[in-house]
Amino acid sequence: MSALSVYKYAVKFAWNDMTSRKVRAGLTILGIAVGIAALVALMSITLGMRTQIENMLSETLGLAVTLSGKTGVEVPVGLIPAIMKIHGVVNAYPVIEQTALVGSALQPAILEGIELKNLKDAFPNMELKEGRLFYEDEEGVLITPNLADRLGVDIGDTIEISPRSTGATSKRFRVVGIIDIGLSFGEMGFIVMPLSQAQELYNRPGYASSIVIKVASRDLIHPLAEALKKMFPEARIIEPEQIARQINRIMDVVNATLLSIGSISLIVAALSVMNTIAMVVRERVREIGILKAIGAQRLHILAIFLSEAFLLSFIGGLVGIAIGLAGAHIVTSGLIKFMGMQLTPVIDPVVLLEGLIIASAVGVVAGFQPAWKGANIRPIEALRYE
Amino acid sequence: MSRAAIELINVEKVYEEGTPAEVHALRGIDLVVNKGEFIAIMGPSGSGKTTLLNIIGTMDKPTRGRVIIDGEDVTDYSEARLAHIRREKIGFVFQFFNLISTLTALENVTLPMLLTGKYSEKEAREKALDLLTLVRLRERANHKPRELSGGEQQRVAIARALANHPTFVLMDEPTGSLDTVTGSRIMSLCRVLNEKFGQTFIVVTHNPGVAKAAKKIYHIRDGKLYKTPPEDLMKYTWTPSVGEKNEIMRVYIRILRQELNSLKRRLTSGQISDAEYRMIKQRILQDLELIRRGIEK
Ligand SMILES: Nc1ncnc2c1ncn2[C@@H]1O[C@H](COP(=O)(O)OP(=O)(O)OP(=O)(O)O)[C@@H](O)[C@H]1O
Ligand SMILES: [Mg+2]
Repeated sequence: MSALSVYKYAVKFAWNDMTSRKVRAGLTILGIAVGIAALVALMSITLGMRTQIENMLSETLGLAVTLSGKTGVEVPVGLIPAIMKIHGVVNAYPVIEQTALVGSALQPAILEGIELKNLKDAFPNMELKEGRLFYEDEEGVLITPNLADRLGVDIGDTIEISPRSTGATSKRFRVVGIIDIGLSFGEMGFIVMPLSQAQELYNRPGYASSIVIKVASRDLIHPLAEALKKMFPEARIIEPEQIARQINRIMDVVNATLLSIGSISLIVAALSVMNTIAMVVRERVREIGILKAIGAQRLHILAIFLSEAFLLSFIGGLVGIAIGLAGAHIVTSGLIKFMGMQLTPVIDPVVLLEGLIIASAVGVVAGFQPAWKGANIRPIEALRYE
Repeated sequence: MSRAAIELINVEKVYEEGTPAEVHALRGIDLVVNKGEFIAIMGPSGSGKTTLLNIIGTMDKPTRGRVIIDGEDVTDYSEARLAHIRREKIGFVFQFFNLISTLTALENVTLPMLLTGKYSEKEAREKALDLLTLVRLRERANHKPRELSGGEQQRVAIARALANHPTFVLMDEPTGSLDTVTGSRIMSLCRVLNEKFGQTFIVVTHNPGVAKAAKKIYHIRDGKLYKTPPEDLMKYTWTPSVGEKNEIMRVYIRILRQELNSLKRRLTSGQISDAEYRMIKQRILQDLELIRRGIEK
């Protein structure tokens, strides 16, 4: 009990020392705070990105496996009856998904050819803004507002679409509706048209670029993919998990890089704590002498200076977390504004706690060397110090 | 065990030995201080008084010779063991700069008690308040050192030196920044403690008046100790006033009662054995009895 009160005094000593040197304490705290802020901001942003990407994947792929060819429009639609017979498959439909060039300026856009009845399934969040949907065999298309803006067209106008494919020529289509495609990555602009029209445009009747195969539950996805690989060894089979895994791997690398940048700023912060504690020890040498004269042990003196290192870095950690969170919001809102990306930082309490622990640990480790030096000064030298 | 509380055997202290700046601060000091003695060490500036006191107080080590405290040869003890001895047995008042500047007067006096681990914080604070009362600084208890005058700081240091009821109290110019009245009051306090509890006092001073409080005066010249005091100093008999004496005793009765409480708590919480408890209790009761008799007179 009383041993504890000695350490309470150590903390009191440290706290009073800090408050009597506000500027120095403030700067040291800021040093730690910047490092922690960088870490917290980076972690929150990358976590946000990861979540965003996962959302994107589930938006587009959901409970689906896609089967596609190497390039272009080369999957025969005639495969569908055979695919429907595979265990667990509830639906399968063809789509043509290609990049195309639009208008006289040859603007790039993503072209989607799809049967009207599958439109809702492929783009569950799609919303019709103006006009109407296309009829099944009409030479009519739906486009996203950004593309309409870029091309300067409205409902009723026609646009020229070049298929970017050998053996196919460009063709004019009428814009019948403006849609919000409901995808997070809609910046490039989408053109949606009947599948038959797309097949005609690419001069590939009876073919699609991929077949979207829906299953009843998540655990059926992988067996289905395996079965498809056996049936169609030539084809590319894409499972959502697989993509997610790949993206996660990339994100891990990004994360590690950012973390190492953050750690460099923490090393700088550690040096500043070290310097501050060394200064405190130098100022307090005579008091170390007095403490030793009244019988304080090395450990007691160590406790005083480590308390100060801890307090500085712990407060630095708290401030850093606050700055980091604010910074993450500023950066992401900047990204939204200037790059059209949609991103919300994700605040993970574990990351915040880690930040606080890292800050405190960095401070205490950095403070140890000067504190140890102070604790080992011989009493008489300490008393005589000027 | 001999009655010798402190024994220095042929102690030499050479600063910067082997360099051109070599200083022989102490040259073969032999000194025996018995338990319960009250000695003064006088001498001109630079004669080696502080050096001697630091060596007696285990703050510094002699270049040559032995230092024996309470029968233990501590000359080659490790810093950790010496810290323990200082904490348990020695109270220090330095010539200059005595206090921890970030702690209040009360906290400064409390700290040595907390370091021993024998007192709860509350017990230590109460005892510290009593000690501050004795040096007439109770109203300044919550002031930081920089809010105190030099003399007040000195008195806080004296209260702190008495905190653990040390066997030895070593004071380096304790009255240096005190006026005559306050200085003599402090010396009265030391005298009473010395007479009643048998605490050993070693006081370094320039002031012959202060030295009169001591029962024995040593003179130091150029690192050597001389026992021959002038006749007139020996004749002087020093007595505190009855009022002063009684006030000190009253406060000490409270301190000792509290001491008993701490002791009981330590026994019940198993920090000390039954035998230890009885031994220390016996001693405290003896002290109490001594004081009671003193007040009746
Ligand atoms: N750390 C040191 N290094 C070198 N010389 C020292 C050191 N400390 C003290 N001295 C010298 O040793 C001698 C004795 O010093 P000391 O401090 O013991 O004197 P003092 O009797 O206490 O003097 P004062 O009355 O002025 O306090 C002096 O000549 C002093 O200059
Ligand atoms: Mg001196």
